[in-house]
Amino acid sequence: MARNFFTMMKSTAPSATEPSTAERTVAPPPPSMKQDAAAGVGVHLDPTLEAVRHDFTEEVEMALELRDVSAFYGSFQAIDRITLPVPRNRVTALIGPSGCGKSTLLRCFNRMNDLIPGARITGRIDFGGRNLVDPNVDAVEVRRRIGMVFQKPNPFPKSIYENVAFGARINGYSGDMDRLVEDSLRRAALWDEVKDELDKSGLALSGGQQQRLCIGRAIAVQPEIILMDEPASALDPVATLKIEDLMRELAEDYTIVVVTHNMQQAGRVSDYTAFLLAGEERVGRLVEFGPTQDIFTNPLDQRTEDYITGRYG
Amino acid sequence: MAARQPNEPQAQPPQDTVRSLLAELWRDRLQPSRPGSGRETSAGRVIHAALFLTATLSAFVTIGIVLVLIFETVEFFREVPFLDFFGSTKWSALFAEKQFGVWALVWGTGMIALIGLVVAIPLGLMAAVFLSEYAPPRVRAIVKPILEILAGVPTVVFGYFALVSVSPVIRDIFGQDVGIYNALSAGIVVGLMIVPIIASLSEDAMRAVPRSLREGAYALGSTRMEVSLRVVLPAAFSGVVASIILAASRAVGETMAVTIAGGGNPQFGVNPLEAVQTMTAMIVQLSLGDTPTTSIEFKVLFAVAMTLFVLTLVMNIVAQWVSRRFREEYE
Amino acid sequence: MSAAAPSAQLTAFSPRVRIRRSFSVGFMVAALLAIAISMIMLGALVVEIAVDGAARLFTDGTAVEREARGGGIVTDLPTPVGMAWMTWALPVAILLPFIGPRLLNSLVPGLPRLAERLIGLIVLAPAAVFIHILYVRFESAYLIDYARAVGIDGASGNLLQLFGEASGFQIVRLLVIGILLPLGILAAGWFWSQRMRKPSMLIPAIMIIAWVVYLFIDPWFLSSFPSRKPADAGIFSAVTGTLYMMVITAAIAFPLGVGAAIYLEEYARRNWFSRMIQINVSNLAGVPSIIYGLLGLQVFVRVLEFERSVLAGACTMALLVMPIIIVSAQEALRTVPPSMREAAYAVGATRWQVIRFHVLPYAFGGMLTGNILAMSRAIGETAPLIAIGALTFIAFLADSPTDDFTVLPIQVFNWVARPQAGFHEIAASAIIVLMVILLLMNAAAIIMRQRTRTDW
Ligand SMILES: Nc1ncnc2c1ncn2[C@@H]1O[C@H](COP(=O)(O)OP(=O)(O)OP(=O)(O)O)[C@@H](O)[C@H]1O
Ligand SMILES: [Mg+2]
Repeated sequence: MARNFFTMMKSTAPSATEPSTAERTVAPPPPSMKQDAAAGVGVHLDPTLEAVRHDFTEEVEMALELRDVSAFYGSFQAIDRITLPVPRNRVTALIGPSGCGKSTLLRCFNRMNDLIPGARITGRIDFGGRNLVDPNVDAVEVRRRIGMVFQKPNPFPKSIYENVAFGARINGYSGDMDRLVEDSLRRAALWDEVKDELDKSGLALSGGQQQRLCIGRAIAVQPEIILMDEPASALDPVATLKIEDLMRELAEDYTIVVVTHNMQQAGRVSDYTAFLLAGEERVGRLVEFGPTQDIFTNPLDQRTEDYITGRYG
Repeated sequence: MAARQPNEPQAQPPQDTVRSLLAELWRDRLQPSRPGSGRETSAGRVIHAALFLTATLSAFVTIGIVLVLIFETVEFFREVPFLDFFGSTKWSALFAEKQFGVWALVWGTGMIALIGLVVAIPLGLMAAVFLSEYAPPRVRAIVKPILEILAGVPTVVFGYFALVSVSPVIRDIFGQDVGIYNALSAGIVVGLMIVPIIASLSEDAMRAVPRSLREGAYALGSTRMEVSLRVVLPAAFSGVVASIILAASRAVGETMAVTIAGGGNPQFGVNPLEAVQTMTAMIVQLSLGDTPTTSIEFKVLFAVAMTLFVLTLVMNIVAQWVSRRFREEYE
Repeated sequence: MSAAAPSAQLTAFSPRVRIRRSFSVGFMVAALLAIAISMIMLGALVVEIAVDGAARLFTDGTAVEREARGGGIVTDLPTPVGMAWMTWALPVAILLPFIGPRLLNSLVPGLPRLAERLIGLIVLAPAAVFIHILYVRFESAYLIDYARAVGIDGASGNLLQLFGEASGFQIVRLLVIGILLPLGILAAGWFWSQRMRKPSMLIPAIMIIAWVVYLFIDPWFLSSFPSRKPADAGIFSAVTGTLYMMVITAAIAFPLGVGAAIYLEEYARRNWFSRMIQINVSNLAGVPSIIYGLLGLQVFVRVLEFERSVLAGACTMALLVMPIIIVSAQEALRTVPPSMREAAYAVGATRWQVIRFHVLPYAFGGMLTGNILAMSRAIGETAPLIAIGALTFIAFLADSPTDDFTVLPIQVFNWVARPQAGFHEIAASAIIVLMVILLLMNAAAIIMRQRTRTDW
């Protein structure tokens, strides 16, 4: 059963209900908005923005729902009114040429942009019934529940153990810390390599190991969503493959949003893909969104096709 | 360095009479870039040698300091047994019955430096955290230069401040029987004096911590305080410790403020409300009077200075070692 | 660690975000307090000194002292004379550079640049000389008035004779202001003709400020020698001694320090020797200043027999500040990109040519900045000069580098160390003078750092 995203957004218009709405399944679309779902043909939903959306081919809950999200650095607008769903327990890839605002968008998801003086977000990001953009929502809590892995591995200059335990400690974790560290490192596919030297500095690991350590560190605070900004771009092919496998595995329990420049990687790891593009004024806009399969085999927008086939930056 | 010298076949330089040398110099000025003359001319050699001499001068300064100190110190220990100097806590160099227990002076120095550090470490570190983690760039751009200018305020000025402003307050608090000269007021102003050093150097170290580390910590749901105290401060640990040791070394070597405000009373007591005397203040006191250069008072001055020199040297070396040994290398 | 629903996973974490947040805010407040306390304490220092010292600096002493002095002293003379002078001279001084060239342009349109400049100077120079003459006239009138008021014998109007009686400061003032002011006018006019508008306005601005401050300062404090009575004591010998010593110190330390820096950066191979020198320099920077004093005492005062002279003090001070100059000059040299040197070598320049014509011109601003900062360190240093035996009571001006001398901080120390409150007060006044000099030097360094910063 396929549903169109736009209708879904309508049905979840801001309600004053409890955060439990996060776990709701999306209601079937009203008949009036019925789309040409079976044919798989997308439609332009927002005439001003002209983003193309493929229909969903599966029934899936949404972890995040973005609605007209714009982001500014001072007076410079980096992204413009992006409306995008992020399906739960799936890998969503953000692709697009350099400078189109992928990182900016990703950093909106966990309010990392708050840390940049002059940065501003408008619009609505629905997360468990609450609007993340709302200044009353505690950014610290948001980041606890929406973790992030960065392009360059950035382990703390502490031991491997402390790197993983850090997030749990500050968040008042009361359980068995050794187990948490072990579990997190296992899930990050790093345990076997470091289990005998947990006291070693995190900086003493190789680049690929450091990146997995950072993933383990993110997992240890048990977030619901993990954001990854080009997590493998600084790594060699073998380490990259390891990270990709890891992403697929983690997708069973977590929602993953990944920015990548590598088309094959996006094809290999992601379930859904969003293509962003910046116009002449360098303002990023969403061009196309849908299941990765559809985007890659049957792009509906010429620009998407050009980009995927390598005719764009 | 060698790569900068083009490999030209060595042409025979003109023989160095003063005349040819001047000619060479003059030619250098007329022709900023003569093609094909990569060799060092004789004038160039003279300049090279002169520059080399200026560079070695700093080594001679060190050697000079050490020799000057050792010479008179040895003279001193010819007359006074070693144990009378390092084995005693009683100092009365200016009385008829002379005692040279340097521990009284070291104790006074340590007490004032300690009070100074107790004042300066919390203030300086918090100021550094504020400047590096909290302050908006514009505030930092104003406050940092002010701190640096304050670090350059002459120490006599701090001495005046201790005597005229701090001591009266201390007497108001602890009672009027506290002397106007006391270790506490000297220590407090020494602390104020080194706050800018700790704040400025620690802030440099903390700002050198890469942004990505902070972001990593924020992404785990840290508050700003947790990022500051549990990520940035540990990552900048070596620089912070080095700044504290350097500040301590400054406090130990500080002279005028403690001379003016500390009182000239070499003693081995624990009460910070009493007058003490530091090594530096003792040196000033002995220098002010017209001490004959053959007298024992003149020689002991150098023995005390030697102790001071070794102490501060060790502290500076430790600071350098700490900042090199424990520095985290990020690319 | 099952993949249970998020809510189940979360139970192990305590929902303390609000508490942690308030901790964080509290911490920020504490940090803010720390910096506020530091600033307030240091601010208190400045205010305390300003309040204590202003009395002596801006009036002719406190009421108590005035009485002790026996009342009658002419104090208000500078003001009316200065005011009269200002009413016409300053407007002319300010306006001339602006209207001069404009006037020319409107009179003779289309004048070539060179001619414009030449004529500008020709017009301005007589104007400047005229102002100078007028100034001297007024100043001598003031001197004569003053002499009459204090009853100097033979002050019948003979200017030269009067100079013999007038205090050094008045002579200095006459020469400095009488020459500097016309020179300033000339410079401002020249800058204006060069289309350098900022300096051409800055110079009159500085002159106005200097003049206003000067009007309110009591000249006696600046122009008197030390005395046993606080009200009569001044800092003339200390200020001149400080300036004297600074000049010699800079003349010694700057070439030596810059030379060492050039050697270390441009010549030295990376071997044990240059490493040793480098470590040595950074260790020397940490040696307590009083130890340099003992070095100076033994080497300059006793072995080289400079006695307790300006020269001995300056040599000692030069050694003290040399590490600072070396390190800052090295930093300045490092800002010159290697590509610049390579380009020069590529066209066949010798090593010294590369340094002289391609490296030094770019690094020179940074080196000068470092030198100013080093001098501002030297100007406040007291301990080494006490160690070499600089005197605290100097009632004459040094004529040659081998004369005895004193400097401002030593004068301050001497007065602070006395029990009378009157001396503490004039110590504060002397500190103000010292700090103003320091502040000006720091400001100059900051401005120069900004002006010479080049982005590659
Ligand atoms: N901190 C910042 N301040 C100002 N402008 C910024 C900032 N960060 C990014 N930008 C601008 O926002 C736009 C989007 O940047 P962003 O980093 O999101 O691009 P990106 O798609 O991630 O690029 P890349 O693929 O190269 O990482 C760019 O034009 C960039 O110049
Ligand atoms: Mg990016």
